[in-house]
Amino acid sequence: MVIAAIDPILWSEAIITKWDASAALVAIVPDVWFDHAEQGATFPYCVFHEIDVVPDHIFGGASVENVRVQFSIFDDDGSHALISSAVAQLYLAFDSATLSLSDATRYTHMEMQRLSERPPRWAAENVWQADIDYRVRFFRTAS
Amino acid sequence: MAALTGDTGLVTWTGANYDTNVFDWTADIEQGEHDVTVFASTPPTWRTWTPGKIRTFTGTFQAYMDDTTIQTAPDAPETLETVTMRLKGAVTISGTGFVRRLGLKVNIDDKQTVTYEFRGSGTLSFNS
Repeated sequence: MVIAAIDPILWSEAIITKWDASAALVAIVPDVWFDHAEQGATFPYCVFHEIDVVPDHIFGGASVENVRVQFSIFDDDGSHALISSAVAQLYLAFDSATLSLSDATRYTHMEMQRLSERPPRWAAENVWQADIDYRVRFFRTAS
Repeated sequence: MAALTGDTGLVTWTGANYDTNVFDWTADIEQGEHDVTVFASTPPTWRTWTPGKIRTFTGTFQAYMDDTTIQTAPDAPETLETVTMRLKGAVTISGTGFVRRLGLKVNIDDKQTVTYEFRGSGTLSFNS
């Protein structure tokens, strides 16, 4: 039996909801997109990606889905102060956060843990970029 | 005929023993033996053996801890229980036994796991 990995739509919606719930984060970075930003996005903004999904299988068909998510924040300010503040607010909003999934019958959020940070740097296109990776775990019941 | 993989394995354990979210199991079945070596008139002598009459089995299984079902202490029911280890479908190994060791591992960076060790008592059946 082939079981597809967790649909990114499920958890990406939950991440955007969590983002929007943080007034301090939204005050700095109002716009966040999954996978790619819209053309002409206003700085600073954030894009998050799915790096990979690694399932830990359990007898009987259940599994723990380990999703690695990368947040990339971009800013064109002259200083890195603003993007550094955005990163700090991202930590406050997402470290050990609980995500609410729309499909709660099949998946249960277990944890959200920060794995790594690539601090703000002056990247290509003359913008600041910071990359933060999280591991998000979900428990999937047997089908 | 094809080689089996572990993706359809399972452990079930009767009584109050914990068997939720199990992801691996082992069974160790030992056959007794007797050394019946007779020294040769000229060296060397190679040892010879005969199968004993006593068998025994032990086993382990590991599971991810459940957030609602609490783990049970070793041999919580204080009786012999039936443990069934499934290889695939109806292919199972089963017998009675008791849990003799419970190991808990909590790691901030990983899932929490529990390891049970059990000792069998009586016959171990191979079913297909």
